Amino acid sequence: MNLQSAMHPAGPDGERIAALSWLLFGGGGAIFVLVMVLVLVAVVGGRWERRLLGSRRAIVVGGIAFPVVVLTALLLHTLGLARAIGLPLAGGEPPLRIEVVGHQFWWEMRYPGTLPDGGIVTANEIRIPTGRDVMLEVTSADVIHSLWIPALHGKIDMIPGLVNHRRIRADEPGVLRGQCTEFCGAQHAMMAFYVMAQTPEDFAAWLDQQRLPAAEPDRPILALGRQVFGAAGCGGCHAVRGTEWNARIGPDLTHVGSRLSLGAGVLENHRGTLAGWIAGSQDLKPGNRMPSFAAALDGQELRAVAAWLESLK
Amino acid sequence: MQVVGFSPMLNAIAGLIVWAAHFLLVYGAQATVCWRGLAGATLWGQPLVPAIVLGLTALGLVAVALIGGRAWRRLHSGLASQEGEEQSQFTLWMSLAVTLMAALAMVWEAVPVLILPPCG
Ligand code: HEC
Ligand SMILES: [Cu+2]
Repeated sequence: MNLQSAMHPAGPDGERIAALSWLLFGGGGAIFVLVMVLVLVAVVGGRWERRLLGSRRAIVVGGIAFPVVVLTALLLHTLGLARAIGLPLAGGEPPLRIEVVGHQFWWEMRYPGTLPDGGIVTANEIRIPTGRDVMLEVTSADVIHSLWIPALHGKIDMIPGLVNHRRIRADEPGVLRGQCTEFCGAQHAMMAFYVMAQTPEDFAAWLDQQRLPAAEPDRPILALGRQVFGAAGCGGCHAVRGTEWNARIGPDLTHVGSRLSLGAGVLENHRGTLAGWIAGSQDLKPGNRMPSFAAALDGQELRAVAAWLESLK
Repeated sequence: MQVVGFSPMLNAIAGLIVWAAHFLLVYGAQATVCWRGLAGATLWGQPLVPAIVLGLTALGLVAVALIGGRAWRRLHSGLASQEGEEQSQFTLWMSLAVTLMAALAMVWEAVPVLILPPCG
């Protein structure tokens, strides 16, 4: 519940932003009521009240001075809040760096420095340890996208050729959801991702698991799946660490079986949905950059490749 | 005293033009500096982005002060009414009000550089 709600914050920055929202709702509501009362007075009030409302002084005070003072105060308050959101939180540890690259219509997440020669790469989910600052370094591989995890932070644009930074932090373990918030093409609406906040121990265990290369097939159907993957040309777009395939056009599939969703939040992740996605990705998410393979693979091959990908935990 | 150069209509919106120019230059300068990776650069010992933004804002404020001041003087010299043109009274008031609004807007636009890091 409330996976993706700015009104249900899950971290210190989200709380600040929610507090600002309530201030705006409350203040805006109060001013609205005040104006409505004045309108009522203007309609039903006596001559004296009406003359007062129409006086030059009322216009200067109520129509000019009041808005200027209120808006200036709000501006300064908001800027102070924006500043606080950018500053490192107490806790000593340097922030964990995660690079996020927007693609039409999916997200690439990289954890630099987690492998001797670079770092692990995953897709469509951000795993973070609780209670620690995480610095998202965001950019785009094609058009402008925007990253927003409403429970944690404000929107941050992903601009080709530019790296933007956003510090996030989650207090409690749990699953949240984020969304692309800058129209980026046909499947912009189906460009979501999950955020999984884990205790530092669980996070470290997950990282250790992700560091491993893809598991070797230990059953004939899995071996067949791996073979189909190569024969069908999947490796021309996808990387699977520990194999000969290292293309970066589509998501890294080294541990695709361990992910929370497929197709950037479109499907749950299991063997059935994997097969469905491979056979009919253009029906599920028309216009995305992966062709459907329904015509290229027979039932046996489809089952095998789905089983193999599922086994890549 | 005769107003030279501006037609009354142009005079009335001159404050808006200054504001628009300020907005464009501030936006462009900040984007260019950050794109070039010059967030840490300085100008005469001051951080670059605040220096540019505050300099442009000072220029803009001087410009609207001149425009507004001239409108104010004309309004109070009685010249406008002597000419018997109500139009002219109106455009002078408009000019004055617009310059005040532009001044406020430019100050609001400049405040963030005093509070936030220049390049996010
Ligand atoms: C032309 C390049 C291309 C080819 C060929 C290709 N894919 Fe993809 N694949 C993509 C792209 C791009 C995405 C991301 C689509 C999206 O979510 O918008 C993707 C997504 C996926 C996903 C979902 C990953 C996730 O984390 O959401 C799986 C699984 C997948 N592909 C498997 C395959 C298999 C199996 C084959 C071969 C039968 C294949 N792909 C061939 C480009 C390709
Ligand atoms: Cu997008």
